[in-house]
Amino acid sequence: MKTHFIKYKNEYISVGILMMTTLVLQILLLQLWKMSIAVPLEYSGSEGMSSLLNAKMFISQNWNLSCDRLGAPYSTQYYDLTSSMLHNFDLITLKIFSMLTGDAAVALNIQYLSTYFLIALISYLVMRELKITNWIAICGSLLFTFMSYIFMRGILHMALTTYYFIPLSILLCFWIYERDDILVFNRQFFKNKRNLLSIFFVILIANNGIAYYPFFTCYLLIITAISKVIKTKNFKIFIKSAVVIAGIVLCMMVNLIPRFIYQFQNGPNSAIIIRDGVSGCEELALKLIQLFLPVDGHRIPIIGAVIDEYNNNSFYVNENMTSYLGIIGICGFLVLIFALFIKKESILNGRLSFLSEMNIAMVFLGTVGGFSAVFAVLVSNNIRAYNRISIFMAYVCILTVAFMVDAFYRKHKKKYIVIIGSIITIFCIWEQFPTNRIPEYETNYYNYYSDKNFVAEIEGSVDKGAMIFQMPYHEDPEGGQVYEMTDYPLYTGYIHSNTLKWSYGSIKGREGSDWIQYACSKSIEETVSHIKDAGFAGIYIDRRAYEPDKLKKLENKLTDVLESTPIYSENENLSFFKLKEVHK
Amino acid sequence: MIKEYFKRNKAEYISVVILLAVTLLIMVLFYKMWDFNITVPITYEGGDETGTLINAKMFTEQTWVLSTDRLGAPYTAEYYDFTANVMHNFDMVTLKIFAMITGNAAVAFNLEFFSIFIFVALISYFVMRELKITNWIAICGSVTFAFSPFIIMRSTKHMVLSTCYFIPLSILLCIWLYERDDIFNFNRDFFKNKRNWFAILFIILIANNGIAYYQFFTCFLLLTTAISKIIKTRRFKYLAKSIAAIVGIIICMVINLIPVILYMSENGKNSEAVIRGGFIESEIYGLKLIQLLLPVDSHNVGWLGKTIDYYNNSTLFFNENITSYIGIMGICGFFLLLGIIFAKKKTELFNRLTILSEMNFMMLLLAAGSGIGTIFSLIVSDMIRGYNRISIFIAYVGILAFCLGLNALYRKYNKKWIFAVTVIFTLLCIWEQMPGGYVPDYDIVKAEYDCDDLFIKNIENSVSKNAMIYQLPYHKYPEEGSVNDMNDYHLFAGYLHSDTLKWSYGAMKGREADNWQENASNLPIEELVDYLKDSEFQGICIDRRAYTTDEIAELEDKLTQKLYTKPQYSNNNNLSFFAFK
Repeated sequence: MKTHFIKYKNEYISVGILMMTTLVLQILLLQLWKMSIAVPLEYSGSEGMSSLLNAKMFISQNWNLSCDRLGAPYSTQYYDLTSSMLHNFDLITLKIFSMLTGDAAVALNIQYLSTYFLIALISYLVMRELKITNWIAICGSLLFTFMSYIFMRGILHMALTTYYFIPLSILLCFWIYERDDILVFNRQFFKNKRNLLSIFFVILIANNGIAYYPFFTCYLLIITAISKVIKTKNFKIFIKSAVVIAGIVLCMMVNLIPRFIYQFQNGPNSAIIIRDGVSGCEELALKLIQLFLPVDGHRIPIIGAVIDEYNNNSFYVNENMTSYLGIIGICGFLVLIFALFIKKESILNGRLSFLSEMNIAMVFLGTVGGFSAVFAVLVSNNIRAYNRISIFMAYVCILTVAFMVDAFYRKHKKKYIVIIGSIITIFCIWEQFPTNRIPEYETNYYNYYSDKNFVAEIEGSVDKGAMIFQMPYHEDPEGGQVYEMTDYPLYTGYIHSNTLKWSYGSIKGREGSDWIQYACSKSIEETVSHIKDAGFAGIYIDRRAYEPDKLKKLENKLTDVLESTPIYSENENLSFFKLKEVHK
Repeated sequence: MIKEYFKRNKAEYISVVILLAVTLLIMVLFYKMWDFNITVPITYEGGDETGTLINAKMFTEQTWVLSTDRLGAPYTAEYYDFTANVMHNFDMVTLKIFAMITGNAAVAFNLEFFSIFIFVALISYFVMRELKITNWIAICGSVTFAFSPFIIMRSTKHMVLSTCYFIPLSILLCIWLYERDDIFNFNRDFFKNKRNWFAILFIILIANNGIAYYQFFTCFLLLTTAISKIIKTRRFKYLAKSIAAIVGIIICMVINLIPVILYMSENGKNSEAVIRGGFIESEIYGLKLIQLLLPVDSHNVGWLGKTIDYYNNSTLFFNENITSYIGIMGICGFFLLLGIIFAKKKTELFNRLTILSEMNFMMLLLAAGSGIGTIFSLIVSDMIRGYNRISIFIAYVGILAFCLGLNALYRKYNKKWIFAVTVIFTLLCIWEQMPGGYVPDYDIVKAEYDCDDLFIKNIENSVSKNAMIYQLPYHKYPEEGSVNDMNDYHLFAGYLHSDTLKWSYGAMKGREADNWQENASNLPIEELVDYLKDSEFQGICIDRRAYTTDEIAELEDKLTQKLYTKPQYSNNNNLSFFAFK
């Protein structure tokens, strides 16, 4: 053991430095001294609520595919939501954090903040496996960890923010491309530790990135096979790539077994997610310009003006604005474009050449009307947000610069290279950080406790396990914003209570959702009568969903019908009417 | 001597004759030319094609097309503000020749259009032969290129782009710079190398074709060639060669622009003439990779129609980029070139395919959705916006790659079946890529054309020679768009069908002549008539398609009351004319 530590002393020190630097940068960039660990970093009611919901479920029950405290008077089943089963790795880590802390907000915060460390660590290990010098691997990994992508998607797109296995996807391609001993199916197969690692990688990749990251990995594996076959005319590489792809697909199928069983028993649900032709895939495609265009909220005003000019005038500026590669990424991208012109053979050229092939293939796949559109037309339009490939490109580009700096450093071995490299890294991280993505700690704190206290008040005023009817009726998932109410704030009730059952959360297209929609379609008097009969104990209103006049009318009417006045949350976003017959 | 020359190049001449015969035959069959009347323009819709028709008309009666005293009356129309006018001089020269020979605008227009196929096929063939591609393969490739959907779909509407005959020369220039060390060596022997002479000629031709787009794309490819060569050889002299070619193109374009520069120095700039909507247009009119591969609408193969419709009905930014399809042969070459990205061999064929492959992916990076083109638009200039127009370059590069591959295969095996299969394949490709629905209904065109002709001739006979005719509605020129059923350039009909009359439409917007028109159009009808009479106009010609039924009835009633005369109508009721007594 001691010998092991002595032997790998440098490695452990490097990892220590990497983790420390990650922590320091995280604290400085996210201004974590302002943060309260018990308040989620993101609490705007949009997609981030799903992660908070998952954390809450993991505290109250085993897993998150069904819940009898949502979709009341029914229970809710999330088996129709395929993506729920395609990011199991981060769900497992969330489960662990939830079990350890017993608090959804704390678990979510730890989950999010730990993502940085995992990304940095895995990226570092991959770079070291590719024989990149420690300090360069640290710099490269830090750059990759602190991409604009992670800050801009944040907790909102947690299933994508957890991009820690992308370096493994690239490493897998490298192994297949460079190593003849990998995935050779003979008696020695399990003696090669890289084969075992490959199997492990396949399992991890298949359980991360809600189908997008596995899909992009499969695409890169095909590119690897094409590249190798064209160069060697040896078709067995195809088999290797095909086996890995089959492995990924198989794992995903295994993940989807609960869904298959559920849909076999209950029939398919065509209403769940609707995709419209190829427009979605073009709208959410990768735009080459956005790889180069720094993020909004840029620190340098003159660049900010160009960004604003683009963002304010271009069509379809959406989540694709997270595509920025950063300065080092851009350098890598340009090198890779130039590398396409190089036809010389050398180890460095060989690696750059392979990376450049992956890079251009990703551009052709992701670009507006690119191979993505061909895939959407001929195969499936369920994969549509091809801009998400930008984070794969970022890693490929950063890896390119790391290879080049490494070659330069090995040749000259000067200390100034380390110093300049470190300064540039810090500068680039500073440059690529979107300043307007620092969490709004005070606002979150205020709203979180306003909601928490409000729901606690409701829970204290009704029976244990009582059912609360929520208004307005809102589809789950992807119901969209209604007036000032974002998509998922109706989960607030569930997140802050421990025994109450809430009407929101029924999957659209299923019986539970239809029941609530029907109840809400009636007049107020009828709705009240209907939900009383069903055993509901009160009505919870998200007031942001209504225009002032309509809200006033609704609350006045309820006051008249129920002969009681509502209670309001401190921030006045929520109100609650207790149904009179129910007494504690 | 001459006999010997012909004998030596017999195969070449026979090939050219076959090429021309095949091109002609396909043209005749596709355009059903047995129904076609050469004295009626092949299209006559009042759209963009009218610009060429007007040019032809001007060429029949005056030297050039940059001004005319028969349009923009009571002023003279001057077209120097429309920069694109001086950026396609080669096809203007051919049009001028046809106009001089025939003396008829419609005939010249038709000859200009159909000659495109011949020119494209011929130049492509020579380029392929220069690249040592076997005659029959060069014929197959060139005919396929000549009948690209790009040309057929843009047709007469975008004649300045349909005339893409010098694209093969752009590619050849790049290949020469890439492969030949003897080209563009600026020493005493420069002019002894006939390819240098040709290169200069090519530069002049390229600079005079494609309204700045083809020139811009050529410069981009020249830069790509230089980058490729420098990276491979680490010798920067190749950059100097490419820059020399680029400078040559730019100098020629600047020379072309001299009339514009002089005019603007005398009359000031005209910011209204051509308005661009910013970099966003480079995204709207960007190239979509899928459209290179997706067959055109109205496809000859029925079952493909559903897939095409599925895409076309749900895609964003569906516009002139629909002309991007490169055909089966182009697609084969396109994928071959993508495959070459991965290859590392060093053979003559491979080297050539490598430069084509590099050009291919660089063109995609330039033009594909929000690529380098959009960056250029955002940072440098948004005047170049239709990046999808590079698809015809990609088509040629793809077809050339296919032909080079096939040529290598044929030379290796020298089997007759390769010939037979390729010819059948070529015919299949041409049949497949020809879009249905792009052959005009000649009877309808003729009826429209003759109707307008008769009506305008009657007007011309009813007023004095050189009389001025005021046209309603007031419609800015150019690029003002349709008004109800009146297309953008329908108002040119008067000029087109008359020989001496002067017409009010056609004044360049943003200039004094146009201001006069605009002010006049703001007057009440009664005052307008008096004003026009004072200005010595002899009548008002109305394009009735621009008005709703109620509007035209009200307008014509007012004019009837004011002028105490009923109007004359064209037989199709599209036009009416009120003569001032």
